[in-house]
Amino acid sequence: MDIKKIFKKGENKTKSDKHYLSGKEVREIAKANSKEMRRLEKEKNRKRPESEYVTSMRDDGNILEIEDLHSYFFTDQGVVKAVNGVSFDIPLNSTVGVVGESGCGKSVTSMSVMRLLQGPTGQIVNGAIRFKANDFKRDKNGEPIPVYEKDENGDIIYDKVLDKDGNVKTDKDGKPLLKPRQKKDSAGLGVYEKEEKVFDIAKTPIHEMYRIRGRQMAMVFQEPMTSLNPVFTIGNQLDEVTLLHIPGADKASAKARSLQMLEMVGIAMPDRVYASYPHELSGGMRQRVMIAMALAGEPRLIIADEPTTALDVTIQAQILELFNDLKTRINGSILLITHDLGVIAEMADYVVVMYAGRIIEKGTAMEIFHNPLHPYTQGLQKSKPTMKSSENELFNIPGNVPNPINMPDNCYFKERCSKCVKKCSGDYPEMIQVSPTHFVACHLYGKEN
Amino acid sequence: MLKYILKRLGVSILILFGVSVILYVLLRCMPVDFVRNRIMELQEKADGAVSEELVKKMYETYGLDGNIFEGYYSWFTHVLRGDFGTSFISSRPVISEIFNADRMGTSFFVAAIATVFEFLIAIPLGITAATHQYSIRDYLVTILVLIGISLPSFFFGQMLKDIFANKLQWFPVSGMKRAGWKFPNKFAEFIDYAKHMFLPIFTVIILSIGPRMRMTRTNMLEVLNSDYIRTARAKGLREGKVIYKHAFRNTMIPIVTGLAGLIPSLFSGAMITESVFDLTGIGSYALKAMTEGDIPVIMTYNMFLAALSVLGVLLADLMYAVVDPRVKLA
Amino acid sequence: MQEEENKIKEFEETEAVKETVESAVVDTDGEKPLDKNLKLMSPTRMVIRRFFRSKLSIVGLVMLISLIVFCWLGPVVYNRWSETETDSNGVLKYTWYTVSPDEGDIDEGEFYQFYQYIVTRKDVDTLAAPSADHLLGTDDKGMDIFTRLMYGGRLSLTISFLAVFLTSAFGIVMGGIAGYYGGIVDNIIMRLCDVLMCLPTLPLMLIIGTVLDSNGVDSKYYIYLLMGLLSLFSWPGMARLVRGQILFLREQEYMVAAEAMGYSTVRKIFKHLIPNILPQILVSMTLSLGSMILYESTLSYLNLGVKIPLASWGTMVEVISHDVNILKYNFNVWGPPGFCIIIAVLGFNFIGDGLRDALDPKQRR
Repeated sequence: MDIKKIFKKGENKTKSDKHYLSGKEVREIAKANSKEMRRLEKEKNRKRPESEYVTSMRDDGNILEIEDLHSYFFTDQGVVKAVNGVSFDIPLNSTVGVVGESGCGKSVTSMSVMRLLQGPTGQIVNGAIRFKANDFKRDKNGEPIPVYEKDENGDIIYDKVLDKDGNVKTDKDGKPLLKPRQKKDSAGLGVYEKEEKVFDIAKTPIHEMYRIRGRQMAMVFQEPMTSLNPVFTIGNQLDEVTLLHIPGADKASAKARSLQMLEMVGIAMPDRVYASYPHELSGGMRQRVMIAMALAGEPRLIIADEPTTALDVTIQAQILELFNDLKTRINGSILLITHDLGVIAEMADYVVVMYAGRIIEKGTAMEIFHNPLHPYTQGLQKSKPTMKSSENELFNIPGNVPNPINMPDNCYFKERCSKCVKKCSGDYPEMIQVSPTHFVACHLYGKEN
Repeated sequence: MLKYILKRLGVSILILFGVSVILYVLLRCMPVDFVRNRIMELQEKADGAVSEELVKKMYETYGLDGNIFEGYYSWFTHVLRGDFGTSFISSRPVISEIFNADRMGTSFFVAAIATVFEFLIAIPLGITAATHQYSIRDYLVTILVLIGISLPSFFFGQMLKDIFANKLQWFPVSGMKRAGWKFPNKFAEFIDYAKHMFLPIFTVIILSIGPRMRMTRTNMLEVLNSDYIRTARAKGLREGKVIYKHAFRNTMIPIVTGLAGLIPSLFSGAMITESVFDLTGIGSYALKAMTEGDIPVIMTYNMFLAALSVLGVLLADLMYAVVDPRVKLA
Repeated sequence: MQEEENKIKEFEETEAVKETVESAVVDTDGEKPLDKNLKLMSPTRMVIRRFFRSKLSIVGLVMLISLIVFCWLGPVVYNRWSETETDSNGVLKYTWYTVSPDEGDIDEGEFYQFYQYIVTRKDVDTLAAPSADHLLGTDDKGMDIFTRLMYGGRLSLTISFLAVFLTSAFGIVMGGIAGYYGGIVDNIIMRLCDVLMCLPTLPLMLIIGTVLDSNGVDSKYYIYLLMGLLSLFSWPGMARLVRGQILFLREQEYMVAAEAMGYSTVRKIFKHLIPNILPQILVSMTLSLGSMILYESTLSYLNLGVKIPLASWGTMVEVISHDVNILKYNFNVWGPPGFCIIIAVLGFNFIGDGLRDALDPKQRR
């Protein structure tokens, strides 16, 4: 009986063979891929002058501007256009939420911003990611310039230089040697002058990225259980960030700072957590550690990639509260990636809705929640269970996110859309501006309608 | 911890008991006449005089007269008293033959030097292969690995001997010492020893480096794909630091524990290689005993190997608890 | 992005996709659906593609196929000599011998090499150099090496196939029983595995060889019996693999789902167990084919395996272990069989390695 069924399955297979690639097609894909990957890798490793990747922002109020970003994966099945022409801005001191079903390109967008796409298969193919960094100002030798303490008159305070025995060192004339006193922060680390500089992340060479990652923008990942290195203590992994990015930091000051960070993220016994290994902590604790690690570099932008998905609901609430709290403290912005509309509603100032590698709607949180225009956004909202809802059945959008290989030119959501019009079979809809901040890509809202 | 070790030791003894039963049953499959004839033959070969006493002692120790259960019991009680029997070939107690300092020393020397070099070569090569996956380098390492595990030891040893000793005459053909030669000083003697040992050690390295290299590569690849490596990159660490600090420590966990498991194999000897190069190690000795049917040596040597492998597994497990902070023995 | 990629792959590989693709086609009644544009690689093609991506697998396949053709078709084409036939046509033989000089012949500080030139009439053409008569010369018994190479290959390959097949069958049955029944049965089998794993393979084979020798087994069946007995001792590796897979699968959610949906045991085994275990068994078998050839040849080299005059590659190399002159001067006697062993083992290992990469669902590309 059962064996027969399996054979039957085999017969079906031949019927659906037309959905499989032929050997010739496979070879063509592989050839095209390897050519394209080689070109992009070469381009990535090319030496560039600073003028090529240092630019200026379109709007000075933004901290990050993504413009027409294309990130592809070159797989055996064909080119997966995981991010296909995405543009949005992150204003200073705000939280931007990116929502969408899984597999719609949210994570790839964030990875592109960090330049963490794994080559040679994953590549940023086109587009600009402008990021306003707040890096240390460096003198001609590449050394950071310290900030000195000043007295009431605005003069720099000098200290006498002491030798080992505590005696004042003097120069040849017998005058005491003087040294300007560098400003210290609360963890005892020296303060340096900073300057703003705009990088185009998509073109920035990797050695510059080492200075930006962890320092200018930090990332909190989805899986706190596996995102910490199991063989190093929490302290070791936290100190690493300080030692790496803060000039003049030594072991002791790094530890002081790490403890400070742990306290800041609401860990009750920072000393104990500092000395423990990741496996000794709970998921929520680990996520707090991850956040502390992100904060240690004093970043201007924190990218949180589904930071609460793997956690219990109660812990989720705590972590979100922590994020909200941090935003006011760090003088930076948060890019929050999630599939949970509830999280977005609580946290975000601006919302970007993605579908199959493209943005289909973006606007302020108010606009998206109170006036969703795209049928997909409306569907997403309806499928969120609420207590108030009088309907017995949960709403769901039929079907799945399509695999972004060989996408047609028409609207990607057409198959699943309940409000299709004739035009939907035509070109992919343009972004239509509905209000100064609200954009939607749907034929329902075109000029003709 | 102590409780765990004791428990494991108990299990080990049970395993060894099982091994001894199997070995004894196998040996009892030989016809009794054959055993008698074999003793006679070997004795004759050795010194011409067949001692009836030895035959009697052999029958007693291995209980060859009674049925299989009585026989095993007889062997077992003798072993408990530390009596493993007498070698047919040399008429000396087996224990002193196997735990002979010279033999064991030679085998240990070869194995120890080879292991050190194996690790020094395999780990860096395995890591570069993993970090440059699908590159020429990776291919070369993979080919090297596979060739290493595909070489028949006897053929490879003989080839090296033919090329480097017979044809090029860079190294002596076989043996451990230049015969009939007075060495002016200790250093010259050492150089001669090293020259004799070079080919065997080289053979052992090539034959056993493959699995270690492959293990390093696989581990490294797995570690490089893990989430915490992504975190390390996101911190702004340079790729070198990501690999040699964050990934390396994790990659080394199974390799270091493997090292603990290797300690016993240092003492067991490389049978074929030693006999190809005429080294008087424990391996070549055991091989000779086994091909000639020296039953007490066969039995004891195999029990020794089994004990070593049980010990190796135990050591490797204990090592895990030392190296990996996540593992707690209970 | 790694997950993204994995997700895509998983998505493509699941049976469910095929079904959704089909249903999508049906549902939209003639209108061109979005999924129609989505062409995937069939799982089989994906495996084949991954396998052939590695040049090494291709090299391995070529090596093995040519060896098999050589061994099985070779004797049909080149049948001038048979396996154990000695060339007794009789030849005049001109030989240079190195002679060790007497003490008195050596002058102080000078070095002489003494040779002796001997002409003999040999009834049997032993150790002949390669010629038109004997493509690779003859061995010390006057048998044609080229011919023996082909027959030896037949034996070596057949024996290892048989041994691996037997061992795997044993292992699969034992592992299956242990995994399926669990509890006390599992415990007993696994402890047995522990014991057997402590017995080192080569010494064990030597012992079995001695036992067979002592019982006077006919040399024709000797090696088959030896390998058969060996499989009684070498199944634990495969058993552990199978048992581990079964236990792993039991934990999987889709197995729980299959259970909940009341699928019969047969259906579960055919639909889930076999497709999941088969790749690993295949890889493990390919790799152990290589090591079996190595064991067989080592045994034969030690004169405990295939016995002369029967040919196997190991036996053909064996001559050098007791005749130093052959090692020194007659490479054509022991070189070719040695390289045949290497080619065969390397071939199996290349293929096994390629298969392992191709069948590994975690593969990156």
